[in-house]
Amino acid sequence: MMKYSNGKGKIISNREVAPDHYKMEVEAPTTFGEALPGQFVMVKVSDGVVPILRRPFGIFQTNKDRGSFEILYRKVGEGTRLLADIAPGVNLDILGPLGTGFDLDLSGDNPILIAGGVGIAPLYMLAKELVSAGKQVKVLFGSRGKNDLLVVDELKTLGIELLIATEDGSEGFKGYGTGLLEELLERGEEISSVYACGPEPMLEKVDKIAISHNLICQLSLEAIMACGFGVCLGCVVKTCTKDKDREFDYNRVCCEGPVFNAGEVIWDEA
Amino acid sequence: MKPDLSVEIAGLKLKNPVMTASGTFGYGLEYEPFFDIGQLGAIAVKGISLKPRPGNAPPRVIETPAGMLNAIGLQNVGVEAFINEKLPLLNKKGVTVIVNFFGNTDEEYVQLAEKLNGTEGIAALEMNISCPNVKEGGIVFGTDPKVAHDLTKKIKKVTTLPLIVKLSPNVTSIGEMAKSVEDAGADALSMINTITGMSIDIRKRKSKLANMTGGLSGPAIKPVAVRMVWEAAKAVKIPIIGIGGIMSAEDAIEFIIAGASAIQIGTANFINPSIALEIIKGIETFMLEEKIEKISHIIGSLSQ
Repeated sequence: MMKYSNGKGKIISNREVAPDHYKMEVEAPTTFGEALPGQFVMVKVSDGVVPILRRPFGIFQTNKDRGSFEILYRKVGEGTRLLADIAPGVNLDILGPLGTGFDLDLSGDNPILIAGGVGIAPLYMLAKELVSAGKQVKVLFGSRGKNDLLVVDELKTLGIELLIATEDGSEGFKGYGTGLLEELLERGEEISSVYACGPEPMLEKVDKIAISHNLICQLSLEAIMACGFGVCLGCVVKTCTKDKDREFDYNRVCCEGPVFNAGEVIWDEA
Repeated sequence: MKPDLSVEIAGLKLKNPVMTASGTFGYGLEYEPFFDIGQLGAIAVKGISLKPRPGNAPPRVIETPAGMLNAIGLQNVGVEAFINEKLPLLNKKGVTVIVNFFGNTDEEYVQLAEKLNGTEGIAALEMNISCPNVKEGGIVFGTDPKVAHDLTKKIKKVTTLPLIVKLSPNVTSIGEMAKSVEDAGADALSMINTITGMSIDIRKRKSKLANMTGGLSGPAIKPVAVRMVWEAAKAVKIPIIGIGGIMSAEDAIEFIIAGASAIQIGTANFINPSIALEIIKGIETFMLEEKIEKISHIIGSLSQ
């Protein structure tokens, strides 16, 4: 049986770490201590029925010593706007940890983690664990501009190599994080695996790069979901099937995902 | 004294009037980490069809004020896998199982009812004639009283299990629909299914659902559901299972007073997976406060 909690957790802190980006620490039931990188938590952002659904957030890190976990989020809609306004001390309705996280056994010695914007959240936790497993970790972090970069100081203390790409060129490589990845590949750098989290076009691009270079690669997806634990079937994504009778499967981002292997997801032609 | 929450529906004795609605409770086992599902009055499993169905393209759900729209497209494992893989596990939990089923033709409905009738461990059938998402099917059966009547009659001929017919709210007269299904031999009604709705992204000028339209559920539809249960209860003698935006014991009791003998919890299961248990306890507390000995005493007890 899955181990997850449905209960309250007191907010320890909730502060803006970059324009419109927040980091929240929540005291949590013990199950959160066992959260794996890539897993997520469903949070109720209001006591009432507007908005009615919980919101999914990737777990940024767990602090076993303090019995807490942290999330990193961007203020984009009604839910995250409300969340940003909640003061420390308030008890938050939380459900988790949920989903299938990253497979650390696939990493090899030279994993590359590629993040787009707030997609850095689950990769931070992954980087931390890979470093403690003795891996040489490179993090490629792409954002719109210098001001949108998140948790850079924390990343630097992990003992990883951090490479930054900004779309406006205000810091690091000018362009997308995926451009950086391609450059590393052209230079023939040692890459044993790729882990990615970010906007869908970025993930699709990483997927293509991984397939064409035969790289072991995992992608963490986002989806609108009502429940987060596999019953509503609202969050499905089209995936390749092994069944001869079908052209594809619908897999749940909340259960089979949010982490999928490269080549698994069938991207929609938009 | 401990209040008596038991109710009887179509010959089914339930320990309490709280059920979980089809499509919001999977095959029950998904809720095992949260509470002992054997404590529920009954569960209505995710709608079953003859063959497995992949469901609709995403996006399939979108939040709306005090509710949500869904167009899952009746994704399910199919009757064979349900009987062989899901039902035995559910029966081990000692939970009363109501099997929700649907077809695209009369023949499919009949075949399914025959198949389920011959299967052990099923307490009742709930026939979905009202799912608004499948173009060839649901909507037609559920919106024409004559069609619903004839289908109900055919199903009654092939099953000895209690037959609950789940009604669509997307009709002109719910009383007429309820009556025509009762006349055809339905043992109970469950209502309401979702209300067909739509939500548009004004920047992209696109529906927020790939299916264009979806079924609205949640507290937003509760007043409509309560009104329809009340109207149907006046039109028929068979018991009614009230559904529509129930989030609390108070909501559940509102339906019971309007005329429902039991209730189903839907969307609320997504938000708080232990809500059904909390509602059972809440009903008990209400009964103690109001000195109600038996919940059945307040069914349809609305003052005129």
